[in-house]
Formats: sequence, structure tokens, C-alpha cells
Amino acid sequence: MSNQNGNAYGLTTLCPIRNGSLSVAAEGCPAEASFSAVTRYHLQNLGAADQSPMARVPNTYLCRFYVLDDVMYQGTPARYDTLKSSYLVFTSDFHGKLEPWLQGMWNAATESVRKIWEHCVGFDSVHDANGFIEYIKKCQLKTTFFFNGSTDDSLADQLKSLYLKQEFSRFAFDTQGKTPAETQQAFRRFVQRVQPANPDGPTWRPGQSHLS
Amino acid sequence: MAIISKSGTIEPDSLLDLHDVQGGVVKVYARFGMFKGRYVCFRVNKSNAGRRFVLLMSSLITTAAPWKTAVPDATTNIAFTYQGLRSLRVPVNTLHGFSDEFSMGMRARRDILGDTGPSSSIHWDPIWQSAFDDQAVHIMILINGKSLEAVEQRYQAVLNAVRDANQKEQQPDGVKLLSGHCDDQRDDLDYQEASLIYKDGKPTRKEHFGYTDGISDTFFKGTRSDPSLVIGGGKPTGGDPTTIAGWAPLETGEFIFGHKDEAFEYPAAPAPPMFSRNGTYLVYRKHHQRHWPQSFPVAGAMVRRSRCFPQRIRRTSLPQSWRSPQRMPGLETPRLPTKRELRNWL
Repeated sequence: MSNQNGNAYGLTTLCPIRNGSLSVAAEGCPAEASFSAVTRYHLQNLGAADQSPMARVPNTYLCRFYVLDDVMYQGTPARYDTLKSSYLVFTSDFHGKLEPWLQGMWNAATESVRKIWEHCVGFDSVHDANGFIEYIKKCQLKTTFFFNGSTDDSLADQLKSLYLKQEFSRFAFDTQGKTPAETQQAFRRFVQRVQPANPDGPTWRPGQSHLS
Repeated sequence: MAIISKSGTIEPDSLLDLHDVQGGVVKVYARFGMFKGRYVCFRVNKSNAGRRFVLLMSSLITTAAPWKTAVPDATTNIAFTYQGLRSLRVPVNTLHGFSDEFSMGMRARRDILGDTGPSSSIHWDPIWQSAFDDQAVHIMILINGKSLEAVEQRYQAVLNAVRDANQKEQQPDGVKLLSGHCDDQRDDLDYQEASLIYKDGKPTRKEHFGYTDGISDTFFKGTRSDPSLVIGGGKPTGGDPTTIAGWAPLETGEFIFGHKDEAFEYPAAPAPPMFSRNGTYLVYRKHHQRHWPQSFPVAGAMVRRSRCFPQRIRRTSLPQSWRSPQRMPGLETPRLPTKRELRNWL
């Protein structure tokens, strides 16, 4: 089955970047740069981890952006080929259906979406969420052999699970050597604090990748 | 642009982002009226200041993209030594991907290069004698300009970038200008000047022996240069060598990392690919040429550090032989020197 694996959706898009250049007034960029270089510059300056704009997009397991300059040549006897333009490659694994997720992405990260896709062919016709959905569908490739590397649960449930796992490890470490009665008391306080049944309670933040 | 191969099939041209290639790799600046040059060397004492300096320089760097409006008065390009990249904290795994020739430097390879005797490094300009101590060259800035004034203006902009970088990082000597270039009178200059030779106030294409310089420049795919420059600059196709059909562009990878070369592979380059793609190696050598007092037939490979002259020269004083464009290499029958001539020459 392509694209969908249980409740998880695997999105693959290749968005052509316009050939040409523009003047750039940004530190770290030459005075004039190609559209692909500017796109790459915006991607490299996105916030990382929980500061990434994609961390605000609901139900996103994982996503990746990169600029594909050209295809690799494998050497003879392979036929040499080259792309007519660079491509912005955007892939994402998320929970749910495509259109609601894209709607959520547009709503949560409008400015970042505009900046990242600004120099892609045809993106100047995108003005709202519906236009963005239509555009992405045009650039979409079928994701074959899609395997969801996590559970089939919502992002909130998965983040809560990760949180509980880390907190329980800490609990086990902190209660080493305590008596059974002390351990039981500590465990009751632990459950009260972490609220295992409440995914909206204490949990990992989207994009968080380490404990501190 | 598509290239029509000898077999008649159309091969796609490589997609070269000329904005990501430095101008000095593709453009012959002298063809645009830039007859003056200046080469300035720096040392990075503090990596943060060095990285800040490179960041500030990036807006001054001239790319290989065609100039849309007027040709600028001056251009700027940048190069790094192996020690320079190390001082900028380029990861060790990346550094290991450079060629031995680059990482060792010319001084360590002097026996292979023939830099012995009068060419030994002890006779080099002082700036190049300290490969590993606190005066080692890390970064070179290459300035070309239409006039000395334009070159000087750009030079001052580079020095301002150094001052800004040091100030922002609060490192007074974070990046340091190195002196030690020579001219006829001094050996402590802050830069190396370069220029075309002028005669009667006009620039010439001659070097100081009187021979025509810049006979050809290599022509490779993706540069979007004038197609006629492929004549003599590309590879022969077997067709008429006086026409474009007799030549084909060389593969981009012969000169620039990240592209297919003539062996149909990617040239060895440091990882990751994004680090080295569209980069290349630069060789900087400063020669002091001497006139020989008498003439003799010479095989091209034996002429040390001068033009490769594969043909027999006439029995006149060597410097006079090829001043005339009608007597340029390629027009006479080659002859190798006799054993007696070789002994006399050596």
C-alpha cells in the first residue's frame, strides 16, 4: 500500500525551484545567489528541534527538507542524466489524512511555508491553505514501500509515551536502595506528578530531542 | 545548453550554479579590462574571528555568474590553505578528504616539484617560508581590478572586514594580515601586486620575456562562456581544429568538484558533498624567471617553469624567437635535443 500505513501517512514531494538568481541582502550570502541557494539558506536558518516551525504542526512525526541540486551519476555504463532545475524535496510522516494535516501546517507555520517555497515554480499562485493543499498535491510522488517506524498512535500519545519512559527511568534510578514502603510512596507521588492517563498533562514537547 | 556529441546524440549540459562557483575559476578577469591584481594573505589566530571574517567576506566574493549590468571595477575571490581550514575548525573527517598535495603543501613536496637549489623554500618570499609556525598563511584574498584605485578600494574593504570580525569577536588579532611579500626593494610588503605588462602606457598580452601570454584557457561544460572559446580550450573531436566543430568542451568535473569528469566519475573530494561541491583547488606560485644567454633547441618538457615550448626554436637569442605571433608554438616541426645539447643545457 502506498502513502498510507495504518493511521500514518508518508508524504513525498518534489517541488521544482525556479532557475535564475536574485540579489540577496543577508549575512552569509553572496550579493547575488541562485534561487536554489537562497532556498537552502532559508532551510539552514530554520530553528532546530522544538524551535522548528514544523514542531508547531499538529501530528507531525517526522519531516525533512533538502534541496536536490541534481541526480548522481553512477558511472558507466549508466546513462548520464541531469535535472532541468533544482528541487525542494519535502517529506513528512504524520498521523492522519493528507488534507487536514496540510491545513494544519499552513495554519501553524504560514510565514515559514511562504519563505521556504517562495522560489518554487508556480508557488506565487498559492495564497491560502486550499491553494497550498492543491500545490502540494501537484508536487506529490507516490510513497512506495512506506513503513511507519513508530506506533500507530497520535503524536500526543507517542510524546506522552516517550515522556513516561524517560521519567520512569529517572524514577528507577532515584529509588535505588529504598525500602519497599519508601518505593511505594515514591511511586504514588510519581504517578501523581506525571499523570500517565492524561496526554495533555506533563509530556514531551513536539520537536524535543533530549531531556533538558 | 545541450552538447551534440560525436555520435550525433544530444548530451545534456551539466547544471552548474555559477553563483556557487567563484569567478576566478571561470572568468579571465583580464578579458574584462581588469589588468591589476593584488593578493593578500591572512592568518587565523582565533577560529571564531576567522569564521566571522569569512562570513563578512561572502558578500564581497565575485561569482562566476555572468554580469547582468556593468562589469564591476574590481573583483574579490578567496582561497584557503589546509592549515587555514583547520584553523576554522573544519571537521577532521572533512580535512582527511583533501588530496595529499593540498594537505602537505608545496614546501613538503619540494623534491617532487623541483623546488631545490635556487628554487628552495629558503629563497622564497618570507611570507611563504613559515608553513607551520605562527606566521603560516591560512587565507588568501585575490583582488583584480581595472585600476590601482579600484584594487586599493577593494583592499580597504577587505581590511575593514578583518577589523569588524576581530571587533565583533573581541579578538584584536583574531585574523591577522601577514606581511612578507617581496618586490625589487623590499621583502616585508603587506601584499603581492600583480599587473599586465604595459608598453607605451598600454597593456600588452606579453609576459616579461616578450612571449604572448594567455594563449588559451580551458573551456569546460556549464560555464555559459562564448562558444567560440572552445577552440584551443576544449578537447579535439577530430574535426577541423580551426572551427568549433573541431573541439568539444571538457567535462566540468575536470575542474570543479561534484561534477562528472572525463573518466565518467566524480573527482575525489572531501565530504560532505555540500562542503566541496562547486569548489576547486588553486595553485599559487611566484616565479623569478631568468634570461638564458644563448639559444638551443629545447624539448617542451625540459623548459623549467616557463612556457611549454614543444617546438624547435630558431638559432637566435631565445627571448626574440617567439615574440612574433606568427612564430607561436604549434607551427613548426618538433625536434628533440641531441645528447650534447642536453649536457650543455643541464
